[in-house]
Amino acid sequence: MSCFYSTQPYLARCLNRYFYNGKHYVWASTEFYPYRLPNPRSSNPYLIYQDLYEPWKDDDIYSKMISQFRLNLIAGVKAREKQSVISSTTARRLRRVCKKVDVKFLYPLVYRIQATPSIQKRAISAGSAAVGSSEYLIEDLDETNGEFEELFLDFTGDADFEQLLSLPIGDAATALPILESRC
Amino acid sequence: MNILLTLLLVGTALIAFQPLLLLLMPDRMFVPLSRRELELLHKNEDFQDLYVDCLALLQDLLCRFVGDHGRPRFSNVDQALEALGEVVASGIHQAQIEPEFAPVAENMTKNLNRARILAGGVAGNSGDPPEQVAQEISLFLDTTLQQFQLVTLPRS
Repeated sequence: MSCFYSTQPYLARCLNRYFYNGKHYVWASTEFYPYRLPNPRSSNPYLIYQDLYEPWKDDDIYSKMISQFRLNLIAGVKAREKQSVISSTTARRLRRVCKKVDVKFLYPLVYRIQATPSIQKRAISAGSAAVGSSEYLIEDLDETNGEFEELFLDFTGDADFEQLLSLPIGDAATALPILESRC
Repeated sequence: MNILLTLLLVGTALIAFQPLLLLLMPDRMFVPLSRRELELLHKNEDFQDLYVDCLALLQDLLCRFVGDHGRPRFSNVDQALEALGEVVASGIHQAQIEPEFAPVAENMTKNLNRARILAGGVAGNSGDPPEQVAQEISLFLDTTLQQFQLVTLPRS
C-alpha cells in the first residue's frame, strides 16, 4: 500500500488541531473507494464522504449521519478528557460545541496519509479488518510532522469556517470562542 | 418438498417479524425517555449534557460490533464501559441533588445494563457478533440516535 485515506468532518479536524495538540485519531482505509473489499459503510471513506456531504449541502440538522458524527465526537472529547489532554472545563464546553455547532462545521474532508514506515508501524489492523476489510486505526497521526494532507478542504463562504482553517496548531484560546459563537 | 417449503416460510417469517421477536426480549432494547423526562431535559442543559454523554458512550461501546454506525473512539470494551459507568454514576449523583431527574438517571442505568448484555453477547465470537446479536445492536443504536435527536433538536 502507498497511502491510507480517512474521511473526517471539519469539526474533528478543528478539535484535533487546536485542542489535542495536532494529534489525530483516525480510522482509515488503504483505498479511498474500497470497491469489492469487505469494508462496511463506516470504514469506506468514499461512502462516508457522501453520507456527510449530502446533509451538509442540504443544511439538514435532522440527518442521522450528522447526529451520529456528533455523538462520535462527544465520545472523542470524553476520551481526551480521560487522558488529561484537556481539562474538564474545556471538555464540557467542547461537548456542547459537538452537540450544537452549525452543520456547516461538519463539512467532510479527506486525509491522505503517506504509508511511511513510521505510519505503517502505528497503523493497527482493527475493526472490520477481522473479517477481511482494509480498515486500520492510527491513534496518533501527527499534524505537526505533516503526516497527512487534507483533500477537498475547499469550502469558502463562511468567515468563521475560514478563520479556523489556519490558526496555529494548539490555538485553543482563539478557536473555542469561534466555535461557541456558532452553536 | 413440503419440508423445504415449510423451512422457507418459517425463515421468511422470522426475518419479517424480527422487530416483534425483539419485543419478546425487552431487556435487550434501548429504553426511551418518557415525554415528561424529555421535557425536563429540554429545561436543564447541564443534565441534558450528562444524558447526551451517556448516549455518546453507548454508541461508542456498541458501534464497534456492527458496520454502519460509525467507529469507536475508546480502544476497547472495558475502557468504554468504564467511561459509561462514570457518566451514569454522575447522573445518579446529580439526581440525588435534583430528585426530579431520578427517572432520567434510572433510564441511564437501564440502558447501561442493556448495552452491557448486548456487548456480552459478542464475547467469544472474535469480535464478530452472531447475526441475531448484530441486529439487536443495530436496532439499539438506531434508537439511541433517535433519542439524541429528540433530546437535542428542535421539533420539526
